[in-house]
Amino acid sequence: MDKIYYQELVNKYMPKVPKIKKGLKAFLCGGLIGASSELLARLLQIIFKMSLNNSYLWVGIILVLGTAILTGLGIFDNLVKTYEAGLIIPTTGFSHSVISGSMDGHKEGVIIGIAPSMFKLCASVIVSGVAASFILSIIGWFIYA
Amino acid sequence: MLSKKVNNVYLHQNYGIAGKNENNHVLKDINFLKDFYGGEDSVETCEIKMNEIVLENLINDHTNLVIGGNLDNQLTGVSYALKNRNLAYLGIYNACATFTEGLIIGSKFCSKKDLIVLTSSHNLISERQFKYPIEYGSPNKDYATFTTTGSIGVILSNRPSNIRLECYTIGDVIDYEVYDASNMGAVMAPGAYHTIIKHLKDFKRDITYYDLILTGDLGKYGLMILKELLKKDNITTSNIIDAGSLLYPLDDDKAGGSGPVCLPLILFKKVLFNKKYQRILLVGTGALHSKVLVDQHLPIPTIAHAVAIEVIE
Repeated sequence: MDKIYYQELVNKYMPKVPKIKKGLKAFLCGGLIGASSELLARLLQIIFKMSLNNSYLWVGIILVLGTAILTGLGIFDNLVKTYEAGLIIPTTGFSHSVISGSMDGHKEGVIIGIAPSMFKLCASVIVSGVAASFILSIIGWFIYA
Repeated sequence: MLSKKVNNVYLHQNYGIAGKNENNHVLKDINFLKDFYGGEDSVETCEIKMNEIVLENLINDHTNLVIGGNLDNQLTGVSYALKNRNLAYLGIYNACATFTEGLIIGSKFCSKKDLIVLTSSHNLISERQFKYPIEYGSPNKDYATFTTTGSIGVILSNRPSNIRLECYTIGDVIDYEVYDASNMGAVMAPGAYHTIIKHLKDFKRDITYYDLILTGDLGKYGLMILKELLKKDNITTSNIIDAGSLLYPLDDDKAGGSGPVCLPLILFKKVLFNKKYQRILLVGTGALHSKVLVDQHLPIPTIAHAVAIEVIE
């Protein structure tokens, strides 16, 4: 059978994805995380008298730690199934991928199990980050030298 | 493709065990695990334990051969359960068509002693092998199927019983250029279509010869695609049921179950309790891909085997 004809047949029966509803859920969730992080930073500046940079650093630490604990307890993956991109795009997504990866290798020990599995999913993020900063610093050297 | 009639092969006792998600009043006369680990440390040892429980309930003094396969790499789930049991073993793999392949090969080795055909699968092992880590909340597409957790075995022998293996058709590898590994229904429907057409032609039968055609794990959407493909050959029938699509009736986010245990679990623990089906055609469908080749952007081939059984009163 013709490849394109079969693909049309398949598409006829595939369920429709409610993109607007899902997009709205993700938008509200991601926005909520952003807004509450800003609120938390202001609270830290007021209560603990931190500087601006320190308060943002602490908010980052709290987000990553909270996601790690919820992933370890097995709650976070159920939340991601509902809110999808709203929880994957912020820093919470990075922490979730590292911790869930590390939980996969617990039976094989630290060196060949847990440590390699930790970066299974975010390896390409780290490589592209390092590569991008290398290229940009070369460009920056030419511009500012 | 190869079609042959079978003489003197009968199905006897079967035993099955399923996981937590399958405990929803669809299957009868079966035990369920309480969670994904069954008291073991890792999911791999849990699958081995499920196979050991099935074997302990099926092995007797007359057993001389076990033919089995499962979904994980190197078939360790079945082989490790057979250690130190003094039983000859043949491991087989055809992804989710493994059970029908086991019945076909078993019919060749069948004797007056007992032969066990065994298959198992575990949801978290498949998730980890083909998709993402276990705790990673990757959202699944609505047309994706959910690997069933369970293990089931059946005894084949020359001694008469009330279920007879009548004939079979061995399928060939079909490729309709589907690249999406989440869409197993679209991958496997053409394989089932080709095998059913060839089977009916080789044995000169009409589709109404069978009271029921039971496909393995096409899922809700794969079954619709199969019916549309059969309609092009002017074959319309209402007696095709997909075993995978019956397993999770309450879950809207799953197109159905998948894995080699779907077909035998629904056959032995649901369909055969209904006395109105006497001539049943089992069509096991399997997608023969690996994660590496899907990542290299190769299309996914499929295979389907058809086995006809007859329930004698």
